[in-house]
Amino acid sequence: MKGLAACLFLVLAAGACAFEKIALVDGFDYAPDMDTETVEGVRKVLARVRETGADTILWRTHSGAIPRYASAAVDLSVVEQPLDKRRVPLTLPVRGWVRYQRCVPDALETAFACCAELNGVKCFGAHMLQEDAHGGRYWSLGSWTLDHPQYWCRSADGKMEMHHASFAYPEVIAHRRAIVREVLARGAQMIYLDTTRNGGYGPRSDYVKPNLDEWARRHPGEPVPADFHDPRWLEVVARGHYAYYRAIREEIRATGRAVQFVITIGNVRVTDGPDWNYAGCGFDWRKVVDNGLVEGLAVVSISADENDPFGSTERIFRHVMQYVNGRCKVYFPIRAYNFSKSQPSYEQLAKWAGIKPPEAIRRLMDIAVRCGAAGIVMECVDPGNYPAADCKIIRTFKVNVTSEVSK
Amino acid sequence: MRKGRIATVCAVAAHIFIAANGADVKTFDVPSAAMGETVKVSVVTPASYAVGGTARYPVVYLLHGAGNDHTTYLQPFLLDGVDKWRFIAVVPDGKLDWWMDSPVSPKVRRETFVVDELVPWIDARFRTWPQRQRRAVAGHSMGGQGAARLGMRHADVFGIVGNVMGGVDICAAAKRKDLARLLGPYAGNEARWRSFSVLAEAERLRPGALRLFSIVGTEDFFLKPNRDLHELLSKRHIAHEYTEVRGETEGMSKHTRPFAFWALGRLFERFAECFAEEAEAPLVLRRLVQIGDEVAICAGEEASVSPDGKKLVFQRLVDGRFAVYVRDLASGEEAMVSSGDGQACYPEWGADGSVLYTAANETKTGFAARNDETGWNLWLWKGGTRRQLTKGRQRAYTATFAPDGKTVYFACDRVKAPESETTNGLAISRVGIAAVGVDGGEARTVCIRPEGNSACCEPRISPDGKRLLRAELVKFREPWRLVVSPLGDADSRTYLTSRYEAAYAPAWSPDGKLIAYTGFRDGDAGWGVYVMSSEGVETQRLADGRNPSFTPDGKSIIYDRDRTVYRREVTK
Repeated sequence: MKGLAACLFLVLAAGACAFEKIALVDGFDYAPDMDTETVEGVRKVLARVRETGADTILWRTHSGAIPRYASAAVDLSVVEQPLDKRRVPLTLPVRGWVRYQRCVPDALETAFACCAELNGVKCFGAHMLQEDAHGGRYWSLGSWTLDHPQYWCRSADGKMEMHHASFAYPEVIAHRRAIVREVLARGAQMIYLDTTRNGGYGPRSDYVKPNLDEWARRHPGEPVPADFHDPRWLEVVARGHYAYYRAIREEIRATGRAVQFVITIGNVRVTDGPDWNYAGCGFDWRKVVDNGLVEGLAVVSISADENDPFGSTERIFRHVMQYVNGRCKVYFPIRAYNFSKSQPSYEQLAKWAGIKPPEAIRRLMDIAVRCGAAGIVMECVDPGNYPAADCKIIRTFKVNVTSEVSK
Repeated sequence: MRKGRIATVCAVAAHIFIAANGADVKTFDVPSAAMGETVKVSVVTPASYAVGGTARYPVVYLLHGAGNDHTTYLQPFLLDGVDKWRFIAVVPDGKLDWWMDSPVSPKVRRETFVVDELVPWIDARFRTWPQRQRRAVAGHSMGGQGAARLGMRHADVFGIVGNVMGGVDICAAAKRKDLARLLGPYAGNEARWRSFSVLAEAERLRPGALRLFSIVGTEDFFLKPNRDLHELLSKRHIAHEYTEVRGETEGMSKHTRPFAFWALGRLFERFAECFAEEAEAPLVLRRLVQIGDEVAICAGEEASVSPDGKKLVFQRLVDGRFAVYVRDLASGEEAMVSSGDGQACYPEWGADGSVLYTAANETKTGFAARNDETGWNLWLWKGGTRRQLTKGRQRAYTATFAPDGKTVYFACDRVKAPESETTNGLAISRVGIAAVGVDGGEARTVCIRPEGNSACCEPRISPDGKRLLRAELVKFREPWRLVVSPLGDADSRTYLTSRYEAAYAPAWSPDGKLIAYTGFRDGDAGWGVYVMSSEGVETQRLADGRNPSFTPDGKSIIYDRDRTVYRREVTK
């Protein structure tokens, strides 16, 4: 009875607020008939996104490290391959992404303006990648990072890693902060920091001098652990990430607007110890919540049990909700990309449960509502993801208090 | 497997000199719970270790011979070896205990001490590589026996073993009182003695478990047991390297300390080769040239001086687009070489004064141009006329002429890969080097790496036309490295730079003895112009900047910084 009451409370709480449907707009450069460098093309993209019923649209501000707007923080003269010969060309046909710096108005402003035209879309947001190297390939390395090898990450044995600059350096945070400022200046109402798609970054790569010095200060005479999973090492590395998040908060505060700051966590499972996000992405999401650094936590993938896909999903959702305990919004995933057991898609969950994908979506949304989530997040609403039948379930989903409680 | 090799030693004096070196020696009292005492241990670190940083080092544990102690090996052969091959040497005092745990004297736990106590103690206090592949154990005589036996018994701890004239069959020394103290009298305990022999361990050794090296003199009284060990290992098809040395100098094939020191010094080189398969060292800083003052020339980048020394070609950013210009160095007059449409970059002189460059011109959005024959292609400018060398939806760039002027080498994303590869629908990034005749024709593949996400870029042909220098990306995350090969055998690679430093944009000196490049090393404030010896090994930072080239007389280097071209004299 007590459990039912708690459940009812959560459902009522969820029902009382709007149940948000967030759609991340990612790789439309590959779409067959959508030119994201034109207003018409952007409108086509948004029409496609609206098929999912999304009411919050996250427009990706960068393609890898290449700004989709006239950035002053990034040297746009060499963003195109092969104008910077340190960047290996993408071996796709020569198209897309190459002229953003010459778009008038810039592509991001165009996208935001088009979003504003849509009725029923409560907000639009910006999708910020944490690092320059999403995709993990050499074509999308950031110009600024390429120009500053002194801030590059290092492996435990001191080898250089040219993909990432470390947040242990204040200069790196200042650069990333400038990018956030530019995005906010274009009217972004959400800074959605995708921490999980980071091109292979992690504490594994953060053996840089400021972190080594901090380790020596904390643990005099003790060698830096070669095993980056050492919780004490993770704590050292995480300092830079928290500093970056605080810098984002300060930039948001400076706008005077009610901009939400949301970060993603991935591969979530029921554990109280250091998890994948801590050892793989460099921050402890619990501390982020404890310190009130974000308005929202977007769970983008969970490590569900294939023998009990939806039961285990609900246990993971409740685990997160229990820790957050109302201190920030939580969004749960309707995930398109499948990385099998560690990060299954909704289609994989459907396969494990022996049901059809639309039914899997309905169950996931039901669980999200039952657990008191603020909404769901779709990653990524590309042309090849979320077929029409699946979109319809998301679009027409209504939070029904009575029916949920009676389950 | 190398076996039965006879080496000849000519110079006994080689190990007697006292070399100036920077290796550091410290002695520690290491507690042993197993033996209830402290053990003296010498630790030798290379000079580079003291510089600090994050670099880790492989470790060689050296087990001394009978009648020696932790100071015996503190000789030039070791101090020089540590510095030259960059490893940490650890020399414990083993008394006359044959590096074993005695079944007769419970307090003798030398094996336990070395394996279970000393190795963790060292790894906890020094920047070591904790993997077995980068941990060797070696010694001579009693220590050679100890190294071989401990290595074979603890292949999970040691990956490499060096046995110099080891007493690998202790049964052959049945009359030794020290062994009787440890194992009981031989008579009546033969089986125990045999079980403590290296030969017995070799019977049990798993093939591939260790990298095993043995050296023994042809007049050594332990020659036979070492030959027996070699034969046993060969019979069991266990790979190892066995060397017998016949010295022409007195004592250099007998059971002597000078021989032991010489042999261990040789083993260090072999160990270093093993370690190098796991790790590599950055280039050594050394003054290679004297440099003059920096002189600004003009706005631009990617600049080089014409073969007659009178003109400069460079690219310049104007209104957000790059174009290629030629500047008369005497008058300062400039003329645009590229068409002015689109963008043009990476200019390079031909011997006849022609200019090779890369250009592209997109007038549409990327999407709209998706079916066009748009691409970055090579153009040749000569005497005021332009000619397109390559065509198609490719990216052909960073081109250079061969010294004969008849062939152009360039980086390209359309070189023929072994197979078509995609990941999540994306083509795997792979850029290689191709060649095409200056009169056009079909381009041929010159160099490509087999791995996905790899690249070979910025080809430069040596002045003698025999070597292909370029920058390569070997695998995910790694920085650019400089690589050189024979021109006709690009897969025969010599890496000139390590993964501890970043390097790209190489350029030969006119005499082929130096290579200038853009580099970054630990502690630098940013990218810099470096010059290295053409074999790698040594390097020198000349200036803050990028994209260097030598002037045709070899007396100056041209480079750019913040989109300004500079010149600096260099004197060898």
